[in-house]
Amino acid sequence: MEKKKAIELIKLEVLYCLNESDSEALRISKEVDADFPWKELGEYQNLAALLPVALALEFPVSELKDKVALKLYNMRDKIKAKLDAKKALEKPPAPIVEEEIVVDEEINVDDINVSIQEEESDRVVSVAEKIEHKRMVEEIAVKTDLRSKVTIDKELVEKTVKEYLKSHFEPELRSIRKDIKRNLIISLALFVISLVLIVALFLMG
Amino acid sequence: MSEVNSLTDTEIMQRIAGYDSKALEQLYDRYTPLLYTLIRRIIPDKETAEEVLSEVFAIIWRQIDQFDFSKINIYTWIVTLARNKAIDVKNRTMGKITEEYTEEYEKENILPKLSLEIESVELEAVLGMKEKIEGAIKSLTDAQRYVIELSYYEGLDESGIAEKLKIPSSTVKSKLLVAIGNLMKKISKTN
Repeated sequence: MEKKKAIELIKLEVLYCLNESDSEALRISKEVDADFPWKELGEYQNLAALLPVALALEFPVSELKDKVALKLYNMRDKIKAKLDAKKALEKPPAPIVEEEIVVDEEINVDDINVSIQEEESDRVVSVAEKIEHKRMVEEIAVKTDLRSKVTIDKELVEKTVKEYLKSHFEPELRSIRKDIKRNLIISLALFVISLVLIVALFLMG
Repeated sequence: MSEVNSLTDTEIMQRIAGYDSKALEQLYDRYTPLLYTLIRRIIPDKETAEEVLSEVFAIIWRQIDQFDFSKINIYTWIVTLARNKAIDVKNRTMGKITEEYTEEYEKENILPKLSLEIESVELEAVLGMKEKIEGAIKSLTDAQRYVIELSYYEGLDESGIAEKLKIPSSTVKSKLLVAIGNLMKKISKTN
């Protein structure tokens, strides 16, 4: 496509006034023409975006900000899924490292849920507060979850240690126990003999 | 809040890309008057206009990963997005568009496709040019202004404008070309 023709179509495109055939011709030109006038396209896109500046400014009701906040708040699951997917793509799988997680105080997740609902029924103050609040709640919930996981892990470790000791040290323990019993009997016998000797010496004296 | 206050539009968008809600709030505060004005011009109904405005910010929030930071033209991207969304809602209300509104549709028809070469424009600088832009628009003939309004704000295509004004499509085309050409000359001159 000639540059002049391309610029003509660009002018109509930025005003959203291209018919279907011209629109298709411009699309193909963008894809295949090495000398497509990208600079001119950028200039006319910027120009079209300037048009609303000439309008007399209007302002929406202040409550709209709260509505927007609520709308974005309700999108949290979708955003979270996106973030998780993004993180998964960015980070290579890390080796699993066991570490102790310390939770300072008992947290009742049920109480937190109730507080969210109460919060929702109230007027939402701002996008930031709303989403930050949820982020905090989610963090706490994750911590609580991890805490219960750590408790379960401790029980598992204790059980494993017991089993290991049982299988590896049981014979030694048994022999030690036998020795103790034998030594106890000898000590008892010696004690009785000593007692008899003392009584005998006393009677002789 | 003061920290994000001093950020440029680009820096704000970069923070939004990290789902920083404070940055989005700042973007809302900065752009709402202009976007709301634009949307109200396209959709006079107040409630619908408010709904569209909130939807524009929802689109920014959920489609921020589609924003091309290599082009760094926040202003044109946001204004074009708002215009596209408002025209789409208007056309759907009038039954001109019946295609289901999906994420794919949104990416294809609502999200702006900016040029590979585009200069950076920031809202603050644009608002500083308000008088010059008004002057450039006023310098157009009534007919030129009208065809631009019909295409940009009413969302009418070439044949729609021709039908409305009862003039041939070729005349509409030539009026639009002359009008936007003149606007470009005036604004480039004043810059």
